[in-house]
Parts: sequence; structure tokens; C-alpha cells
Amino acid sequence: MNLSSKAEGDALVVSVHETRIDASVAIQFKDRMREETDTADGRVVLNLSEVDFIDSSGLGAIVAAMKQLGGKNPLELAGLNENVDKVFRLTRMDTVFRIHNSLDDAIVI
Amino acid sequence: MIKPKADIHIELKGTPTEVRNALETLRHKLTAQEFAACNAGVLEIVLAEVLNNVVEHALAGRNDGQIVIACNYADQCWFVEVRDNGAEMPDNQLPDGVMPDLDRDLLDMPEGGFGWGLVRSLAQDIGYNRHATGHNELSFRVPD
Repeated sequence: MNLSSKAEGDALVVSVHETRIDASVAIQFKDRMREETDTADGRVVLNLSEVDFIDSSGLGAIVAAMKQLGGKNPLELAGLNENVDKVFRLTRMDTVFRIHNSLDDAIVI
Repeated sequence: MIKPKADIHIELKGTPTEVRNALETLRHKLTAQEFAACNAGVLEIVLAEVLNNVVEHALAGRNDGQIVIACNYADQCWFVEVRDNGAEMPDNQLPDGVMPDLDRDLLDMPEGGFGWGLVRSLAQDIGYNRHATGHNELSFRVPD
């Protein structure tokens, strides 16, 4: 599970360099998120622009990552393609996460 | 233009990695036959949830799980059948697919239970048969 992170403005941007977050990698994703956000102090933006598919296990892993971060470091999302966005909307998780139209939008706020 | 029937047939073992490989194979086949624009993304979401459910529940604790997928396209619609040699659905019934309640504290948000909600939201005419041979057969349609 290839993730990288970088401070951008007031946010820590974690980018997922994988095309899929699914049941076969959900646990690795959660573990790698914990490592990348270990020192987070403030909001974390998960950049999903390279991801073209998530299933409900991948969604669950993103929810778990949000809970891991706790209330002090909100997890926000950016770069959702049409199918990824659909999974968030149908499960109503789009009401739980702040979703930015693009990574640029997420950073300038 | 009349599109050909997709006539896709994929066999896999009942593991999460095999599910991933099967969905990637499906995507390649759909792209090769120029079906990518025919709501293939939604088809992939539904199949992923159906297959994950088979692997996690019907085939839980088994290492001889076999799944067969058949997909055809006709009249702006995908017709899909999934067969497996796993345990039957509880009470021989399909899950009701009610989405988990999100009206709760952030740190109590559910991390699972969305799979059949997604299937019920996106697929139509979902049918289930338990065969005397010990197989489950699930069929559904995904409109283009």
C-alpha cells in the first residue's frame, strides 16, 4: 500500500498511490494511514486522485482512519472520481466527511 | 449500432485477492469490448459487494471456495449471475440492505454493513436460489 504525505499550508496531505482501496488491502491501508498521520497536528486531507475504485471495505478503512485521527485532526477528502464519489453518496458518508472538489481547493481553504 | 452480448465468464477462488483480480479482469474485458461507457463502474461496485459478501460470509473459514460470474449485456442492461459453493444465506433470504445509521458521534461511525445497501441501491430484480447441489445462485440486473 503506497501512501505518501506532505505538509501543504495548514493541512497534512496524504496521497494514495494505488488504483484500488478494497477488501484485499483495507487493513494495510488503515495501518499505513496510522504511520503517515502519526504526527498530524490539524486537518488531514486524503488525496484520492489516483484511486479509481473503492468498495465498502475500503470505505470502512477510510472511516477507521478518520476515527484513528480523533476529533482534533479532521480527515477531509479530495480528488474523488465518479465511482468513488458514488460510494460515498449512496452510503451517505458524504455527510460525514468534508469532500473537496480538488486537492487545490482543499489546500487553499 | 447493435452491441454484441458481452458474454463474460470469470471463475475465481473465494479470497479477497481473487476478487480483486476478477474485477480487474472484468474491467479489462469491458474496456476491450468497448463496454466501459455502459455503466461499467456501477456494475463493478455491485459485483465487488456481492463477491465480498460471498467470501466473507458464505465461504468464511473455507479454503475450497469457488465462484463463477456470468455477465451479459442486452437492451441497455447488464444481466449478471453469480454462483458459489458456500453456505446458504441466513434463513434462505437475501440481506435487507438497510444502510447503517450515521446519526451518531464521529468516533462511533460504522466501518461496515454498507455492502448490501449498495447492492440494493444499484441493482434490480435481485433473485436468489439455493440449489440441492449445495450451490448459491444470485442473479440481478444493472441498468445502463
